[in-house]
Amino acid sequence: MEQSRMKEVIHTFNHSELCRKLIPAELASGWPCLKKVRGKLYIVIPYFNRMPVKSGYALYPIYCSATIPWKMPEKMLDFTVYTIQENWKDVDYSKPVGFFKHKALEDIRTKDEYIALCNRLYRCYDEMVLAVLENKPFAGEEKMAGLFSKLMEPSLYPFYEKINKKFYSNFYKM
Amino acid sequence: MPDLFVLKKDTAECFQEGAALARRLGFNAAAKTIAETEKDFLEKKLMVVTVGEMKRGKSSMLNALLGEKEQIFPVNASVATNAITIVRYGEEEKVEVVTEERKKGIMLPTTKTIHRTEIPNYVSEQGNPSNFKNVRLLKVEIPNPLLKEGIVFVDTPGVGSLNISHAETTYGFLPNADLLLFVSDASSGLTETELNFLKRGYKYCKNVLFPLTKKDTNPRYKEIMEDNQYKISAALGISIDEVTLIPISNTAKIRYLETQSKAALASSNFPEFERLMWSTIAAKRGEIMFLPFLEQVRQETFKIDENIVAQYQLLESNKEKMLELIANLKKEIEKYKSFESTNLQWKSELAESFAIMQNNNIAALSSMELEATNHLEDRITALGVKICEPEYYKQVYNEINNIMSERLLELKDQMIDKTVEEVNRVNISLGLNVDSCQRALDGLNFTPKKDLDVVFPKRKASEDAIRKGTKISRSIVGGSKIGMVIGGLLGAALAVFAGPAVIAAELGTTVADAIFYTAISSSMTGTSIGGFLGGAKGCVDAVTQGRDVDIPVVRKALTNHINESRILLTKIMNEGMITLKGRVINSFETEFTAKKRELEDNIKQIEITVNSTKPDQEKLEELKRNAETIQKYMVRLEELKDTVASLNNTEQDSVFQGNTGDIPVSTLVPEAEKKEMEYSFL
Repeated sequence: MEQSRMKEVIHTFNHSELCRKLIPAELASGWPCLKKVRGKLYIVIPYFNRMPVKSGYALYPIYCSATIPWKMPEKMLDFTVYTIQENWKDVDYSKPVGFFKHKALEDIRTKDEYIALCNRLYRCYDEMVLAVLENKPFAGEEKMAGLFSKLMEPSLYPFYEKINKKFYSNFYKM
Repeated sequence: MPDLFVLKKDTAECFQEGAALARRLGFNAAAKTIAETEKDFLEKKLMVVTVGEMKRGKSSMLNALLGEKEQIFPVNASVATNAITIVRYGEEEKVEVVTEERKKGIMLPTTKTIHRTEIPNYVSEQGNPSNFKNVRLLKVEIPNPLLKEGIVFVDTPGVGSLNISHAETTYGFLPNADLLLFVSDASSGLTETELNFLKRGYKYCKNVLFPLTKKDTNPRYKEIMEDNQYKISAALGISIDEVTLIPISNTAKIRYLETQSKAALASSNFPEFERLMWSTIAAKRGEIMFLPFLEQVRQETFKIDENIVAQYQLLESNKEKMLELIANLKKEIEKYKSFESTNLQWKSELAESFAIMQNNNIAALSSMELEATNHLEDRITALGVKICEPEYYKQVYNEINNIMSERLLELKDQMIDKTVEEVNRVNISLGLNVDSCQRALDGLNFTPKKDLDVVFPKRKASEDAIRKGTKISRSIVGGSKIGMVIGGLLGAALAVFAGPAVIAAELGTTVADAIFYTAISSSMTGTSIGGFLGGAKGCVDAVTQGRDVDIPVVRKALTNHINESRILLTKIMNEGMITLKGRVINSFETEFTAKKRELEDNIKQIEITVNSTKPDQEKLEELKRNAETIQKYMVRLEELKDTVASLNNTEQDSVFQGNTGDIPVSTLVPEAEKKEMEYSFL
């Protein structure tokens, strides 16, 4: 199965010097959203903390995000730490907001199955990016919404929504 | 997909035009930099380097990948690669072996053309035991279409092997790698030595694939695979799903090449491995082979544009401001001059740091000696008289060498980190990381008019970060260059490997670097360094020849070996540090000269404007035209960057699918003609 470009872009950034210097090592990257700035395409990658617990992982609110150019994933346009943002001041970072895995993933038994599902969503992202770059309609919107709604951690969704409501609410149908 | 050759030609032409344009507008320093960038660009290759422990099947894998009828890399159950082999594209087949020979007391490289069938006589332990032929490098050129687009395959000797020079030879090569193929096999899990080596390699190159060879020899290879995946993820601090391990069978692929059996091909899993490797290369080649150079030229043209716009804005305001700017620029020049002659604090700070580093190195080498000696005593206690038997003696001898090699590699890492840190610190304290023209302009406290559509003088911080992030370092200041220099230093220290000069020259690093490597290698050969491993060799000979030896003789021989090695390494390290310090200082001085030249160009341009006899309006028009010309050129560079970036969106390489492909629609449709789609999610 072919490697997703979106996954690769995130991987490249996650291994860049910039990321190493700016983003605490214990944070995990979440589902990205797209953003167009002055005609150029960027992706916003949210980062959050997760702690292993008996039943899987405890999830903490989204901590920060990095906005990187799609075509140059080792560079950065913007870096936002939410803990110091005015409209995030009521978020409590001391407690987990939920746990992985969530209910929608009950039928996913193994890690391989989960990764395969994630890869399918990443490939939907690829199709979406290609459509945007070629200025064509995105035909896979429904398929992507299905996968996104299954994979999105419901406890983290409110934070994703705070970052980019237009994008995330378009695909999260719960 | 755009044709890579055409794109390369277009980019080189664009650089030539850029240099000519800069020269025509009177910016000679920028013209020179652009011309140098073009030269570097044309020489850039994409290096795919195989690394891993010996006998893991690296050479077989490369043979299987290249798919040549007659195998290039010697493979045999009893054969291990012991020198670096570089395979690149050539219209006609040519195999050259570079050896090092002593001439008038100096070790000099000698190149000899050989036939493909003679390769095993030079680069394998079987044909060239302990590398007695002094082979430093094997260069192979073949008309293989897989290599045509500037991809170079490098086969390295195994790490963690009995010969400690192997690890160093390979390690010295890592800073050049653009893609690492870290080879392990299905017969056993990854060792600690391999994981340590991987950690070091990952520091230089983040693009790593993990082929797991010999999958056909172990039906339970998946267990090894999972175990390796876990170990790699823990060693590199990345998640397991980011570790791309691909089980393959070299023999099945070679069987397929011989018989065209589809079953053999399927069982080899090479299609999946090749797809992954080529798509990684395809995604990275634009980033590695084009973008840094395009960005460097863009920065140069950006500076020209800024200067022209500055002149325009200043002419619009008044001549006093222009004269004030000239005075500020002259102050900047004076500052750089003072760094060369009067304000030498940076030099003494650097000297102090290097002295501390040198002391730490001496301490580290002493502690290496202690650790090796303790290990020897432990082994004597454990083995008793058995240590006098050739088999055990050799084993302990190799263990000691491995300890010393391991510590040397750690020392090298520390030296690289420390040197990079020092260079960055001096860079910041001298303000070399700031655009000096911008600083002079900022000093005017000048508010521009909006006549020319350029954000001036304040640029957006984010743009700056992006620009600086991709800057090519032309001096030692780049971390990987320091790695290579120190790699050469310690490579030389290991005596058995004296080839960095040869390799540096081969890789197209600067002449100065090659001279540096040669200096280090020569400094070494002038001493009795050949005996780094020689002290104990006499004893090995005695043991292996069945002469009577007892524990005290073995202890003495090995203790002497450890002690002599430490003394020798200290001497080489001290000499090398002096050279390294000189190189760092020299690189700063070169930077000062470049900055001065750039500022002088700027002053000259502004003076022409100030002293212009042309009426202001005419001069303004001329500046406007120049700004438009340079901005048009910058648009061209941006278009080239977009085309290069589109390479990344293509999964496979044209040569691998026989498909020349089309340029994506986005790069063909002019911006003005596009109608923006409305997306519900954007």
